[in-house]
Amino acid sequence: METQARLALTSALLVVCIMLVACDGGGDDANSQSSTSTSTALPTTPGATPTAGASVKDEVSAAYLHYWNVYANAVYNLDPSRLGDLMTGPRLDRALAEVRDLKHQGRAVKIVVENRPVVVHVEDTRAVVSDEYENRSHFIDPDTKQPLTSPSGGEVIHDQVTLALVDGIWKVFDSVREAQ
Amino acid sequence: MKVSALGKQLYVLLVVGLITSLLALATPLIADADDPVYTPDPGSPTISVKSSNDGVTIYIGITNTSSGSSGDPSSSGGTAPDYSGWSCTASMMTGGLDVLAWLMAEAPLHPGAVPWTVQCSDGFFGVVWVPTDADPANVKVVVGPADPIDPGTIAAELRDHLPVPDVTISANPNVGLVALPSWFWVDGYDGSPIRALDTLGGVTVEVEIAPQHYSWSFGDGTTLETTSPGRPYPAVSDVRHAYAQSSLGAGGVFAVTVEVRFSARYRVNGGAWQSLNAITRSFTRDYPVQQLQSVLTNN
Repeated sequence: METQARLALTSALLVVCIMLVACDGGGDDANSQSSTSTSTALPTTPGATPTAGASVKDEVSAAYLHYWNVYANAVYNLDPSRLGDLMTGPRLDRALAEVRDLKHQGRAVKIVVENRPVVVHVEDTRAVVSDEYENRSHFIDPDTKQPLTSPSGGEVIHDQVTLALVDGIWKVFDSVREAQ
Repeated sequence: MKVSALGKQLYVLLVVGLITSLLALATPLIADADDPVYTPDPGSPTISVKSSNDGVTIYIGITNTSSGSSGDPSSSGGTAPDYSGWSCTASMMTGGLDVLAWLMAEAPLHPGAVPWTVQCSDGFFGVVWVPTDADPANVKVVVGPADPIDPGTIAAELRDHLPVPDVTISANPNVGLVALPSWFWVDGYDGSPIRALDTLGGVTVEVEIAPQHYSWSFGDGTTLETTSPGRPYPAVSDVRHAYAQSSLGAGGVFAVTVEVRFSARYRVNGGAWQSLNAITRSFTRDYPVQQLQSVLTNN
């Protein structure tokens, strides 16, 4: 009886702990800062290297989603070192400036978006992705990773993103946002 | 009994811990419920479409960022993007079956419009929805600052800084006489319209003001409204006033004032004129008026 009671209590405690961890979303795990709806099946290597058998649109989609992960990591850790892996041109310039500005402000950002990308245009070395995504990103403390702001609602953003094929890697070159 | 006591203690600890954890998670949401979200890529260019009688304008707004070059992340300092050399074209979007699903999803969100692509010389590419009945010859692309350009605001600023001539009030005679009509007129400005224009981000705003009417105040409590600036001597001016008393009791001179009300209008890129709030300008001069004295003599 005593053993059974202890076992039951231990099990209950374990279940609660698992629930708490699940609710917390992984806490400060640097790999979980970006909550994108399509971020689970991303390549782990820099860039989206075309692979045999994969269609170009799939490559573009994968590169685009990987771009979000790299971007999210950069603003989460205030580390711009990997931005060039998936960005080039004006978009890279803006991302570098953004990380620099955040550092200057003493704040970091947790990117929380639900992407809905559609590849609408593909040429030999250029592709365009239309993405109407929901954004609930917010500022965090760069050291503790605790939220500095916690928006109650989100916003819908519609971006059109141009990717360029650079040395066999699809990189985000620029984007344009539909004016609200 | 022993197990029961331990179980109760653990149960209480568990519940307290659970509540504390949930409160800790919920606190930021409660405390800062009105915080705005952080918008990713805050310096992203924007694109919008505006229709008017003059056609369709696709506006690409570029944000000023404190960017350095991509090769030197450590560089700092603000630089405005140089879009002066951008050359952009727009055309109706063409695509195969691969974009059909996207079109089917997007079209209901843009009733009465079809997708166009915009391409610029720097590699910029965007898709916008342009009214179906737009004449392709009247669809233009304008690149400028991201902050929306409000032609009305630009026009108002232009109007307020227009170089209105330094008007003076002339009179005949130079020294007025009681009971003798004095003639007044505006000197230094013939009343013709005054124009100015400014171009910002490909938007040219032209402003024009013209005198609408003149409000005269002769300094003795008498006023007069005219649509004429008066006529210079020797012509007979239609702005006349006969003083009933000298200016001796008014400190030696009467302050004659004319307030000119200018109607204002503006147009954008040579289009139709649109009304703008009128402005007024005031000008004043001192005007002495004397009383003639009669002298009787034996002769």
